[in-house]
Order: sequence, then structure tokens, then C-alpha cells
Amino acid sequence: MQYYDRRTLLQGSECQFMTTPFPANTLRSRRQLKDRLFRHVVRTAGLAVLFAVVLIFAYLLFNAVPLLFGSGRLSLAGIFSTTGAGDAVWQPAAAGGDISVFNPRPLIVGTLKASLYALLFGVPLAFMTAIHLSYYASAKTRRRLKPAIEILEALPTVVLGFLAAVWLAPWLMNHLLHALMIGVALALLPPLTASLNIGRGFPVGLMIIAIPVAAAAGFWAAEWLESLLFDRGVAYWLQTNRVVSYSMLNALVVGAVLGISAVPAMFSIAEEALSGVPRHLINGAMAVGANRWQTLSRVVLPVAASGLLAALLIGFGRVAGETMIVLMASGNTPLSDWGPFSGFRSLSATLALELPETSVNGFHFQLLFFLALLLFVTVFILNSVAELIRHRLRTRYRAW
Amino acid sequence: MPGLKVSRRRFTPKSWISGSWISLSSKLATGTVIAIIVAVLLILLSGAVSYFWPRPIYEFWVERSGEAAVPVHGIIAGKENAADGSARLLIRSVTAAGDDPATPGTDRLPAADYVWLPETAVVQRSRPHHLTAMETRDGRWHWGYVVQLQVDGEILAYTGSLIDFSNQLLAADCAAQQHMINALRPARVADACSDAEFIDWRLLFEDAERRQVTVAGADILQLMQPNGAGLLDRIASFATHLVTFRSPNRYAPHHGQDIVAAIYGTVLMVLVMSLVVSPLGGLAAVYLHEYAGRGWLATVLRVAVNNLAGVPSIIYGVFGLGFFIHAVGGRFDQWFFADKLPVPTFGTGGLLWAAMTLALLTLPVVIVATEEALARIPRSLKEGGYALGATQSEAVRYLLWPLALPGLLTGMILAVARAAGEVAPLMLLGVVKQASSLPIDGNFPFLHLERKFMHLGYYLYDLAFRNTNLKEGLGLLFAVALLLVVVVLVLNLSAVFLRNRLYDRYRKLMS
Repeated sequence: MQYYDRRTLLQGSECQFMTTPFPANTLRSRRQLKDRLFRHVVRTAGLAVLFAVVLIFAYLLFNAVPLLFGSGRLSLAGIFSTTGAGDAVWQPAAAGGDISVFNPRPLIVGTLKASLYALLFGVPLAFMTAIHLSYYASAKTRRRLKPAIEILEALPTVVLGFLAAVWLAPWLMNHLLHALMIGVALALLPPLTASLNIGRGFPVGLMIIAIPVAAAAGFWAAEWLESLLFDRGVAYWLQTNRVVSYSMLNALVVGAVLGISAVPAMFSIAEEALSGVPRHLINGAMAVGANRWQTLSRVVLPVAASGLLAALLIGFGRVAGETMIVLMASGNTPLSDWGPFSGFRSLSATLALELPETSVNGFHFQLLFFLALLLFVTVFILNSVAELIRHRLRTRYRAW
Repeated sequence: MPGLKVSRRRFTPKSWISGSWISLSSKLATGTVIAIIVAVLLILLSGAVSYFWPRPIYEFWVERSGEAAVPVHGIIAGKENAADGSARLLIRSVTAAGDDPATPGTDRLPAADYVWLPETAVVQRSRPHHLTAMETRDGRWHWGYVVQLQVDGEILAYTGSLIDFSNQLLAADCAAQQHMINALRPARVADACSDAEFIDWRLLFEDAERRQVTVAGADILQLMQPNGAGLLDRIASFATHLVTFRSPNRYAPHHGQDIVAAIYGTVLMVLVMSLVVSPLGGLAAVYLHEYAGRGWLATVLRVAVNNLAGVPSIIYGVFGLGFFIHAVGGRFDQWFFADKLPVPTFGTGGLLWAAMTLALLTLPVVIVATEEALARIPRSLKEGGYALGATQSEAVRYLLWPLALPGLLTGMILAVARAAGEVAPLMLLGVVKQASSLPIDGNFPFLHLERKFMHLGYYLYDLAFRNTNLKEGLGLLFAVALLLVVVVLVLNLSAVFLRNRLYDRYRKLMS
């Protein structure tokens, strides 16, 4: 039902009466009073949201400030001192503050370690999936698979953490070589199929069959290798030969699951950036004779690079602040080493574990608030930068 | 044309191989992500199903160091391969080694426990059809044979099959038969009996070591012969145990109640949260879309909302603990509950503060969904309203709002899904592993917002952490995890469905 041509109405400059339907100095009727009232209510709600964000920041700051500028129990340099390795210990005592040692270095190292391993797992998966769905896949495949990835987003992290701690960690401990071989088999899959010259008509559906087959092949290869080389598994061998100490809950387990949990967030931003690349650039590249790979590597990826960076930043912010997976699968031992087979303790897990049990406004309490502030500010900056990058990219796309 | 160079070697082998490689790798990555999602769901499903599925009972004949073989009854719970190639079975059983031997004279059998059985020691294993699992009211499981049946002191002829027995009981007494059927296959209770009076039925039960006890029918919770049961009976048993959240294979006394309390706490917290977040989020979205314009305030607000969505959930927990519990709740106590101090009322973690904090956490979800719905409403609608002389608030309230309402609802569903799965902030805000009292009860004022509560996600976390004997609780964990996932996924899918319906409606409006 159209009684008028909408286009002509919208084309003209936005009339004054459209934004403020009534001049302010007309008679104040009941309706206008209601109008004003409603506007105030709505504005209050908007400002309340803004207030909430400011309040979070201000409140964390307010609680952490006495620590930094107060009676001077510890200076920042003291907290983060890296001089003696023995000093870098986080050891809150349950009772009697004297023997407590608070140096948040292991916690910061733990958070960075978790993020690093998670991004190692998550970034390739997310970016490659984004490339496939935005560049190679048909519209139908895209429409079907995107909701599936959203399912991953919806999974509660406590469930993923539970699977990591209870299912993946014990399995990995007994099947370290198997995991490695499965990875190798999967990595061999693309070059193998490429050299067999069946690259083009190889649908994702077939890939879903090929992946378990390749995984099974890797598994059996590992069984064979293990029976050949190690009699009680790699983890046991590592342990007994003092190569490295293997703890069941370690950075590898956390990295894999945390990385997977961050895939949807990174994917959606990377996909947005990649599929936003103007069509005429791609068509132009194709027209001058570039094949799909050349178009991707010389046109699409360079143009969307900043969007991919934004996705990386968002992903980093996501994994750095994630709590449940790290809490359940990292072992929560405050160590300052970067090895894949050792556990760690992250900032977020420390907050969840220790904050309910500290005495209010004590040193420990304030320090934890300071660490929360640190985490908050870091993630806030990461997100803001990512948001800025995305905004600029969108503007650039529109300009093209 | 100058400047335009068309390469003659378009398909160099190098570029073709690398191109094909990247294409296939990207396919592989997509496939891997999908495979991981499918695998996670399948693992949860299989773990949960095996928890409720009645497992066969085995009769092992075990030979221990030169002695004659003795029978052991039990369920296989796991298997482990030792370094020297020998395997051992983890079975749940009653053995002589149990520290609770049957005392003569009392009608008690030792409790079931997990034992390791070297596979070499097992001479023979079988699954006799009439091997019976019995769960008694004191929560013990026993495996053995029903030797004798008595009804009112009279011994019945018994073939060994419980189904046969229940048919015989029907002739004797209807209520007893019904109880029997209840114990046998609770899913298939026929309400055929009317004025039946209770009669005393007992059975003589003999375990693997030939100990015999007489058990009264009233003390029996379940009697099962899973080895002889057909597929339908197994499915029926599975369904019943699924509904009551009990495993047919192990005893879990409080889990059923705990899970009900956890669901209860989750739902209540989410409801209170919705009461806070829906008006605030809806109005803020209206402000952002209709009133804020493009000024600096709007930009700041948009950045704030976007950033609110990215803040780690634990930070909300820290903020909620410091601000809501200590600052606001502490004041509350000083003003209104001074007589109870120093015992805090609102100055400690509780339902209200958890709901408020999660409302803050889910605010961006609601705002974004509502604003998206507002943005999709054709402008012509509002302009038509203005043309007819509506004020801005009237246009918003009567023209835009009814259309944006499903958008708000979508946002609310997504927010509820998010809140139901969120655990980290709750750990600081008064969630407990075992609540002594529910937040709603018959005492005034009925809804106790200051009480601590249970939460499904936290329950899962706590079980996973507390379980030292993982073999014992693993199935339950999977079941709880699956329950949580199902709740969250159903909410999400309904939100997606609602959103699609909404967009269809706008499309119709536009044409």
C-alpha cells in the first residue's frame, strides 16, 4: 500500500519538522507535556547506560587507588619487579598476612600465555573459515554454515571448560602423540588433495567426511609410532626422561578450547571485513587476468587487512578476559613459564577464586581490584581500537 | 591501452598450487570448525545418554591366586590398559573386600563400590537374563538373584523372571503389582487398579557370595533385570530416569533435588534480571535510535554500549561485588537491617545483586537487538504519523514501539540465554553449591531476594571440581552439561526464529 512516492519525500533535505515535529514555543498542551516527559525518560535511560560504563571504570579505580597513592605500602615498580626470579611469586596465605607474597607477574604471564596459545589455535581457524565463507563458498553454503558457527558462540563457556578439564585433558595426557599426528594428517589434507587435482570440486560436505578419515589415519599412525618408540606414551616418556614436566591441565588444553571458544567472535568480524571488500575491486582483478588466489592475496586480503587486525584484537580481548575455561582447565598454579605442558594461573581465574575470600578493603582486596582494573583497561583499549579500525574500514568501503 | 598488462602465464604452476592450497585449507578450517561443534554436541549427548541408559550386569567368575573361581556381579564402568599389555576392568560391584560386610541377623548387604579386576583373573563372563539389580530405599545397589517370592507369607512359584512375577502378583493383589511394576518399569504404570489394599510382599535376594536377605517390597525402589529387558523396556527405563534425572546404574541421592533447585535458582535470577534489563535496554535503544541523533553524546553512548559488550564477564562480577554488595548492600543494611548487623542481609552475595549485575552484563545484547529492529522499521511509518500530527513520543509509542517489541523480545531471549550460561561473575555474587533454602517459599515476603541461590552452570563447575572420583560422577556431569546446553540452544534458536519472523513482517510492511 503506497499512497505517495516515498522516494520524493526522502530525497529532499530532511525537513525541520521531521526531527522536531513541533516548534518549541507553541501552546503547551497535555500531549506536548507527555512528549517532553517521554523524551526525558528515554534520555535518562540512555544516560543511565552511559553512567553504568563510567561507574564500572570509576569504581574499579576508586578501589584500586588507595593501593597506588595511599600510605605507600607498595609501589607499582615493587609489584612488577622482575629482579629476582624468586620474588615473582603469587602466594596469598589463607591466614596471617605475614607470609603472603603478592607479585602479580605470574598472573600476568599466565593471562598472556593463555591468550597466546588460544590465538595460535583460534586465529587460523577463524580467519581461514572467514576466507572460505566470504570468498570461496557459495551463498547457499554461507547461509547454512553461519548459524552453525553461531551455535558455538552460544555454548556456555562453563561447558567448554568442563569438556576441556574432564574429557580433553586426560585424553591428551595419554594421547599426546596421537594429537600431534592427527594435526599432521589434517595439515597434509589440503596439499594432498591439491596435488591429486581435485581441488575445485571438493565441497565442504566432503571435507566433513575427509576430516574424520584423516584424523583416524593420524591416530593409527600414532598408535604404530608409539608402539615402536615409546612403551608408555609420550607424556610418560617426557616425564621420566626429565625433558619437561607434563601436567595434565596445561596451556595446550586451555589454548585449544579457549581458541575454539573465541573463533565465532573473530570469525564474524573477519568475515564482515572480507565480504565487505567492494565487488568491483575483485571483478577488476579478475578482469585483468588474476586467478582466484592472486585476487585473494593481492586484492582482498590487503584491502581487508585492517579488518583482520580488528578481529585479532577482539579475539585477544576475548581470550584474555575469559574465565571459566581457564579456571577449570589451567590447573591454577601461579607459574611464570611459557611452556605448553605446564599449568598457569590467569588474572581472571585469580579474581574468581580469591576475591570472595579476601577481607574487604585489605591489601589483597585492593590489589585484586587493581588487577581487575588492569584487565578492564586492557580489554577496553583493545576493543576501542578494534572498533575504531572497523569504523574506518566501513567508511573506506563506503567511499569506494 | 598503456598501463594494463595482461599476464600471459596466468596459470603458473606455483600460483595454481598455492591457490588450490589456500582454497582447500580454508575449506579444511571451515570443516574443522563444523566438526568441532558436532563433536562437542555428540560427546555431551553420548555422555549424558550413557548416564541414563541401563547398562548390562555381568557375572564374572574370578580366580584369585590358586583358589577356586568365585562369582562377582557388577557393571563395567571402565577399562584400563596397563604398561605390560595386561588390561584391568573397573567394575561397580559388591565384593567380599568391601569394608561393610553383611552382619548375620541383620537384613543388610554390603554397599556397592568400584573395584579393579585384572582381566586375566576373569575366567568366564556372562550376562544371565535373570540377574537382578535392586535399589533399596537406603540408596544401596545390589546385584544378584531373586530366589524366592512371598506374598502374605505364602511362597509363590517363581520362574526367575520379574515380569512373570508381576503377572502372578496381579492375581494376588493389585496395589502390590502396581508397586512392582513401578519398581520394574516406572514409565509404564497402568492405573488399572482401584480399591486395592496393601499386602505384604517380600523377596529373598541372594548375592554373588550366596548371602541371602529378605527384603520387604516397601523397601525396594527399583528392581531391574536389564540383561533380559527388550529394547522397548530399556528405552522406557531410559526415559524415566531422564525425567527424574537419576541414573539406573548408580546411586545419586540428592542430585535430583539439587538440579531442580539449580534450575529454579537460574530461572528466578534470569526473571529478576529481565525485569531490570528490559525497560532499561528498550528505552536506551529508543534513545539511541530516535533521540540521540548524531551528536557527540550519541557517539560516546554507542562506543560505551559496544565496549560494555566486550568487557570480560568477570569484571562485571568484581564490579558487582564491590559496588552492589559492599557499597549499596552495605548501606542498605545500615539503613534498614541495622538490628541484624553484623550479620549482613543485603551486604552479602544474593539473588538481587547477581540479577542486577547480569542485567548490566546483558544490557548491550538487548540494546543492540532492539535498535536493530527499530532501524528496520520503514521511515515512512513514522513520517506518516508526523503528517497526521503525532508528536514524536506518540509516533514512537504507538507506531514504532509495537513493531520493535519483538526485537526487544529477541534481545531478551538472547540475554536470558547468555545469563543462563554465565558463571564467572556469579561466583563473586552469592551463588552456592548447596542452598539451604530456596529464594521463594511460603514465608513472608515470599520472594527472598537477599538469599543465596543455586545455578545450573555453577553446579556443573562445582561438580567438575569437587569430583575426586571422576568415574563416579562423570555421567552426571555430562547430563548436567547437556541440560545447560539444551536450555541455552533452545533459547537461542527461538530468538533466531523470532528475529526471522520479525524481518518477514517488515518486508511485508515495505512492499
